[in-house]
Amino acid sequence: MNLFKKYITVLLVGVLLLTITGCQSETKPNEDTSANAQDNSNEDTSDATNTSSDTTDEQDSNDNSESSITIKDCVGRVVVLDKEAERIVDLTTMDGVRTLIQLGAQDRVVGFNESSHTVFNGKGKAKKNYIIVSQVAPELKDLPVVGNIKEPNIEMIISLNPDIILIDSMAKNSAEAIQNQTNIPVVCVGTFGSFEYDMLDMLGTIVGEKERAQELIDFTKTKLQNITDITNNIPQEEKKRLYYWTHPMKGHAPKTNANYEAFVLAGANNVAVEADVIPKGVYEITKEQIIAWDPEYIFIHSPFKDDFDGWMSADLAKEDEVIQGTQAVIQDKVYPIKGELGGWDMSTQAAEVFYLAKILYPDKFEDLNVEKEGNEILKKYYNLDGLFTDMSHQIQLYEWE
Amino acid sequence: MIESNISKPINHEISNKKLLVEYKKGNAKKVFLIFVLIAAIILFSLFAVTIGPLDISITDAYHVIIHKIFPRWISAPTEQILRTVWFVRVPRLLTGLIVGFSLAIAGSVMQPVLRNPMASPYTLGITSGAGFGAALAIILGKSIGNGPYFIVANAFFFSMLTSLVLILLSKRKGSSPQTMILMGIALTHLFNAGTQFMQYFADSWSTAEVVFWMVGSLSKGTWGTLKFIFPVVLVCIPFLIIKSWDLNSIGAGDDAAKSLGVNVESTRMILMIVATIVTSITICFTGTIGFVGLVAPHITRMLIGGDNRFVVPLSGLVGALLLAASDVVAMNILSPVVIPIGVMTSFMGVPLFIYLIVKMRRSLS
Repeated sequence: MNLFKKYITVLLVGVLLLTITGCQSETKPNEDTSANAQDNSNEDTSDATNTSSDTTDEQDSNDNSESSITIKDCVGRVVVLDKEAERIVDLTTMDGVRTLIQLGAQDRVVGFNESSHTVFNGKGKAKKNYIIVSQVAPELKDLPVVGNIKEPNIEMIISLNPDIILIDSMAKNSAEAIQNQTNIPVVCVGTFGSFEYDMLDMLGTIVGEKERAQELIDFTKTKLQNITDITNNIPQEEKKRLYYWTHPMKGHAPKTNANYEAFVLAGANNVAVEADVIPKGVYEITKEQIIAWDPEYIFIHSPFKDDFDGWMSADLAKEDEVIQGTQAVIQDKVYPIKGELGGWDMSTQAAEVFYLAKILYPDKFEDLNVEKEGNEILKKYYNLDGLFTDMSHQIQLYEWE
Repeated sequence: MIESNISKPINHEISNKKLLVEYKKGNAKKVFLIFVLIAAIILFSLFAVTIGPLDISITDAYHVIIHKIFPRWISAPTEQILRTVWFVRVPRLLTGLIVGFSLAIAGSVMQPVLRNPMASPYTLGITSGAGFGAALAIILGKSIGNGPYFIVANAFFFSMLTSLVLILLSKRKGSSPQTMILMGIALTHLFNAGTQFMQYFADSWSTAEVVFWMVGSLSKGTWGTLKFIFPVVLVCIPFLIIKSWDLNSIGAGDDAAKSLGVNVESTRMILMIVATIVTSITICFTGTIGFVGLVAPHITRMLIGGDNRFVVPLSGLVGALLLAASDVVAMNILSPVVIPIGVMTSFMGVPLFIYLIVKMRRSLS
């Protein structure tokens, strides 16, 4: 009996350890994380697909009238709309409303969530957030608030009479519940740090701005090709190794994130990707790990204006006594980077590919004018001049002479 | 008849002597266990400073420590090794040991004082108060501190505020230890609700940051934080250990304690105040670590019985070893990802705890 109890205890420990190590081996270290993320999300939701019906895309198209639209959302759910969406409720944390602004369809948004309301109204701590759309479409600040994904205000949503509801891909499990409660099609959107051209195309289709979506996609791909034509030719072993210090709170453990496609396109090896870990999201490491990785560059996540309480700037990171021996600090290669805030902005991400390429490979991109390229990209998306210059000054990105 | 009357006192004397011998044997066993645990902690520490993401030899790791203690005797291997061992591994290990020691002692004092086996800094709402303060700083950007102490100061303030409310309420006439436990549970729910309310309106990164704080981390353990924690612990812990002698009297009941000359009310109050100060100063730097304070005292009681003179210091040693060992596993099992220390402590401590419960039930039956 005593022996049996010992076995039970050993078994419990074993199960816990297996659970942990099982998570570790889910992905291979060298997989393309962005593609992987998309594939995984599609696989995960394959059972939940076909929300409007259990038929295939083709059948859906045949079964509905000519004006109906069939799309596959960012998690692979097939959604059928009667017509182009004229009225949209956005429950995402900015990804939905941002993309609609980029498509010139911000007037279709009839309600959004609380965090978007906070950002557009610059309330409290959000005053220091640098999120471009709040200055590009300030008229949205008076939109009705429809709760958030955790607790959507269903009655308010129904009263706004929207054609579709947008929610974050991460909240895909709530899609069916909200759809069933409101009887309004729900579409999942989200980028997770990669260039989600499909999302742009899908929302373009939904609002009847497919041409505008295609124009942005072609423009971005052509622009980025100017960089990738060069960085793709850099042998893997010669690519610069960088550490992305995300959410750098003062006095807290360092964190990192393997999902930022801008690093890959700019020809860098993100050390977080080298680690055989669960690919998505932010995770905590030790400072000793930074020493062990010994990156050539450190990029500090800096999406706030001025000095933000509790947030560590690139200058402060350089003074951290523990990482003084790393190549990045010794060679003074610690830089700020915007990264994500209120979701991932594909336009600033494209601009940051240029910013990163010039920092990482100054010889190869000697003639590259980051400010000019950045302004051009952001103007294409938001139709305003000088946005990159403004962003660069406000969040204190590195600027060349 | 006469013989039997004479023989009774003689039997008593023998039995008292036997009891005394048994008692001394028991105490010797407990003192021996203290030395065993101290030795285990030293051996574990010598092992812990040699492992980490960076490949540093055992000799180099020890060279650094000896170099720092006796700079003239020996030189440090390299600057990088010195920084890694002295600025990362040693302070993190010391933080784990001190925090584990402190939380376990706080729990071991609170349980007999409140006469409740579920009493701990966690169940009394002290950690929830700290979590609320941290969330207030992270989500709303409001704090009584600034710079690196932006979150820490708030966490400390609100954990102390919780303790103060608990103590003031317990001073009301007619209040009992049970009232204090119920108050603690009520405050836990109140602060948790407050934190959830803020998280409800918060953006995703702030919510994530609060979650990171809530699951606890020893990464915040640096020489800088130890400068704050160590002096407080150095004053409070010996006091708690000395006063633990009175816990045995209180455990026998308030009337019995009073008859032995113990001022029950004031002793209970002082012990609670000191235990909460120790708790607050540690968790405000590390985040919520709930399991050690609750379970380490129980593990100790299962090993040596309920004599609080030994339970309190031994709980500290068990807690120190449990937390520091959990941290080493948390850092290395999924490296480079660090598993939250609160999670790992439960993973490691719960199987041991269950095993001891099963074993104890068997011996009782």
